[in-house]
Amino acid sequence: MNIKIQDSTHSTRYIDIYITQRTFDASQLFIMLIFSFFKTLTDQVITVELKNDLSITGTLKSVDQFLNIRLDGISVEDPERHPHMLAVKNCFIRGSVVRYVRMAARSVDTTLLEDATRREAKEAKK
Amino acid sequence: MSGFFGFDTSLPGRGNSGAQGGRQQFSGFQASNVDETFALGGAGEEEDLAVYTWGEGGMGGGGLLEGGDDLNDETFGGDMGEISNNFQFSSQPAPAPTTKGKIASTQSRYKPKPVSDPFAFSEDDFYSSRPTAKKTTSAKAPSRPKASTAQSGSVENLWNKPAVSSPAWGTAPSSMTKPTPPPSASYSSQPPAPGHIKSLEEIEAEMAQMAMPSTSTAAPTQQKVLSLEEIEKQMMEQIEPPRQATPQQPAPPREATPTQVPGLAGSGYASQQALLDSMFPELGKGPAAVPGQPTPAFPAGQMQEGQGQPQPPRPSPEELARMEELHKRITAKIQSMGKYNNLMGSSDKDFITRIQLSQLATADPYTSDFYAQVFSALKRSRMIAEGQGDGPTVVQVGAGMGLGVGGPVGNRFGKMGQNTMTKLSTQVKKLVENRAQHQKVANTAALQGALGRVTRGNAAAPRPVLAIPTSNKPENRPASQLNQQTGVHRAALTKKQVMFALEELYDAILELEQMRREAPPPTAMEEIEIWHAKCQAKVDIIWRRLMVMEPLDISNPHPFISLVNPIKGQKLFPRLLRHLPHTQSITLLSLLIATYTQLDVVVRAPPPPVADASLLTKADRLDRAKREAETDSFLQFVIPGVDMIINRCGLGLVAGMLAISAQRSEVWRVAATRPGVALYTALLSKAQSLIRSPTPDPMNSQQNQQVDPAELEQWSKTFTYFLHVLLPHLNDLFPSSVAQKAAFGPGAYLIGGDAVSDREGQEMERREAEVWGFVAVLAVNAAEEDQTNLVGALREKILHTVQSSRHPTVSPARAEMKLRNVNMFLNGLGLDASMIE
Amino acid sequence: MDDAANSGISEPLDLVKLSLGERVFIKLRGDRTVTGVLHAYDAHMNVVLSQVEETIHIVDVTEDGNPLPPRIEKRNLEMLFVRGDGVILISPTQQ
Repeated sequence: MNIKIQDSTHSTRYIDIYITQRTFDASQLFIMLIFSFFKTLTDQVITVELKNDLSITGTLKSVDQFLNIRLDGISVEDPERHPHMLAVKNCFIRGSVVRYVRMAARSVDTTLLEDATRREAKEAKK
Repeated sequence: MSGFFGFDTSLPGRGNSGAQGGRQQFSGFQASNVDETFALGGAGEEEDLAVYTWGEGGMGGGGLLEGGDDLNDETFGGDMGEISNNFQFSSQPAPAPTTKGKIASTQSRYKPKPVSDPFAFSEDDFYSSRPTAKKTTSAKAPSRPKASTAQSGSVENLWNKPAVSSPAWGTAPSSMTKPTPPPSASYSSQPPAPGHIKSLEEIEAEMAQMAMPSTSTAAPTQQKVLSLEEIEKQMMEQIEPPRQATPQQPAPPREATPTQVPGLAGSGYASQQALLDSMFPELGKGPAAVPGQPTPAFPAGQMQEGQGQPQPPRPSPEELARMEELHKRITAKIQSMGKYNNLMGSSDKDFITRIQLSQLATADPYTSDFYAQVFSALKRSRMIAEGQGDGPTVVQVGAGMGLGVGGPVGNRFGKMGQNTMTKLSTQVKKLVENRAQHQKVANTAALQGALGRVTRGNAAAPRPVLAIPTSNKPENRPASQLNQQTGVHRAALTKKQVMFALEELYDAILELEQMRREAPPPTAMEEIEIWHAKCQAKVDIIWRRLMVMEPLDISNPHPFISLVNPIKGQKLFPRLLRHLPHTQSITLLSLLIATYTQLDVVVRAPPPPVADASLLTKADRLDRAKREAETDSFLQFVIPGVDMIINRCGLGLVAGMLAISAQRSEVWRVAATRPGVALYTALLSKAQSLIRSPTPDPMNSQQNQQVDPAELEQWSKTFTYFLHVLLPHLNDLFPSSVAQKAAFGPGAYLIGGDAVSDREGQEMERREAEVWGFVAVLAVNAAEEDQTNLVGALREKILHTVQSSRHPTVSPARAEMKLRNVNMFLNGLGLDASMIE
Repeated sequence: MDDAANSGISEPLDLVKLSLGERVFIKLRGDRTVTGVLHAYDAHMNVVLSQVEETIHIVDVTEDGNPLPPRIEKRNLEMLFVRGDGVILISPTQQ
């Protein structure tokens, strides 16, 4: 038991470090931009297209830095192909299975977004 | 830790030497499966132990080492033996329920698991009493020996008892035990006590609360007496307390951690380590650390074993075997993991802590979250500006206004463009109305003979305005590498160069904008000056990168025009102007006008619409779409800036600008494009409003009060020339005419007819409106005689438009637009479409 | 002359930066291509595009396994986020 705990302490510690390095890299390579971008889309209706061609439309409730997405009030584009989704009202989508996210053009300030990209690109170079 | 050692001291095998003896003893215990005993008590401690172990860095097998204890005294202070007594003392009260009150506090401090609380408490207690401990020694020391001797038979027993046993002790009444309840008495009986009152009191309190008070001294012997069954019984009665009691003995090592913990509360794990390291530097020293390591490791090991089976009150032989096995595995594991110990120095840990913390809280949210921060700020301000929460509708309106612009139009720069176009047309309307009231402004005599005289040599002629001479001075030349050649002509910039230059400009603008935001408080004069200087330096850099000062004919297109050609550069335009001083923006505008024909949107203006789009190839369609998009973008981003600059000009400058254009380009070609129409409309209407209402605009200090007669004359000449160049081509300015001309075959029937959908038709009228607005301004500016010429040139067009507006197949909306268009022009001449038959 | 521009480009992403605000062509896994105006990108090649046209190249197979001539599906999207792990290349469009 105890050893387990200790063990986990060990691994916890290494995990800690691992995560730390990841996040550290994150700021270096500017991956926070898209996260920041998605945050402004919360409470907007978006369509998430997964790599298996399933398209889910719903209200974006939250997103994290891995771009995992939580959708509420979802509907599926092609219910016949995905009958199992009919009963689902909200869902959490792992970021890595996403192919596209479609959104309304008016919910994006493209000029600002380009500026933000330039800023982050510059930060990353420092 | 000292407490831990102290406990050892009492064991039989050990001498007075303290720590070392204890160590040996422990190793002995392990051999004999003492572990089980610990098993009972270990539950609560894992966390602290683990932490501690990490701090030590030597949790592994090292813990079991027997050597290297020599430095213990150094590390933990001397007099281990004495301390041991103290420990013993404290250890007893610990198990008692009494501790509850304190538990709370300890819990909050360490906040491991609740189980450990009692334990922690006892530690606290122990610590507080620790200084005094030495003095108490005399009383306790004797008791210890007794216990140890008694236990010598079976180590296990010894361990079991203290561990299990607060109850046991309680049950067994010893002479010593009884006295304790009256606290002062007990201590007084033990000579050394005076100084450590506090700890003693605590202990007393605990004892008092405990139903069965026991004194450490007497207890051991008594315990001896107890049989295993008895112990078992007691355990059944209160399983919890005894378990917790046990850990106390190994616990002292933990003390080190807990003491530090409070400070660490918020910080990450690593910081604890760092702190630990800093507090016990000896522990981290590698070889020297050995003394420290054993202690922690030992309890750790024991705890692990204890953890194995907290539940069963008494281990069966098989379980013992299992425990043994487990213990071995544990030891092996610990050892194997031990190689990672000290992998990170305290500075590394500190570093990581800092990184982690910095991840949590950035001083400047703009660095990593710029978009979200600014976006929401803009959104908020928009909501406020537009009467609370009407945001969505506003955005929709904005999006609907884009003339075929595919992109989002609702953003902040987009709106500006739309506003300007409407502003321009209202300006024109106003002028026209004005004109309708008082006719006859222009002096016909002055106009006569003006033709052809308006060329170079004019005071406001292009060259001086362009300030080309400066380009000869090296320091004024753009620093850009693109300017290395001094030759008069060179190739135009490649697309990649343009893109690169634009990105550099964007970066510079972003920096400048950031600087402007960070303006120092107005009170700090010096800082303000420095800040101004910095901003100015940035503006200079931007100015050089714009390459406006490059010789006019350096390349075709001029480098600056190359920058404005892509949509990306057009978007930059208004942001640039905001920062440029007046003179520079005038220079820039002069250059722009002089090289207007090099603009993509002029050279490659979108061709007139064809009757049947299906006849176009795909490439054609794409090309048209692209040109349309560029034109829209130009009207949206660049023209507003142009209009802004023109609005700051006096009549002389406006005349100069028009002269530049007339001189350097075929105005009728330029005027046949939407950007050209927009430019000329802006120039002409500005001139007219200057002539009409010389009263200075309070918003505009640049404007001169009275129109200088010389300027007025210059303007008249320039305009007349301009008009006469334009007159023969007037009809070709209208998109509908151009389309009709371009169409042939069956297409000719379709154009302007009903085959065109109403939506497209209205779009066409909207474009026509731009030209009608332009000719209206021409009319307003023109002298009477020229007005007649104008009407003559446009007669066909006017009639056709009016007639087609009365055509039954034309939708009412479009018909109305047509009439409005024509009237815009006719009203300028004091006429109206209704007069036409 | 191109050297001037090249000198400021030290890594591949710098090239992508040149296309910010411009129309780009992106080849994706799964026989897909998209073109659109580039508004954002990051180190993972996540991108945000507007005025997007997506093209999917599909090769249908007959019952007996013979491929039919490839067909193309297109659709237009006004604003699109493309996750970077599907991106094969990003290039400025010719026009």
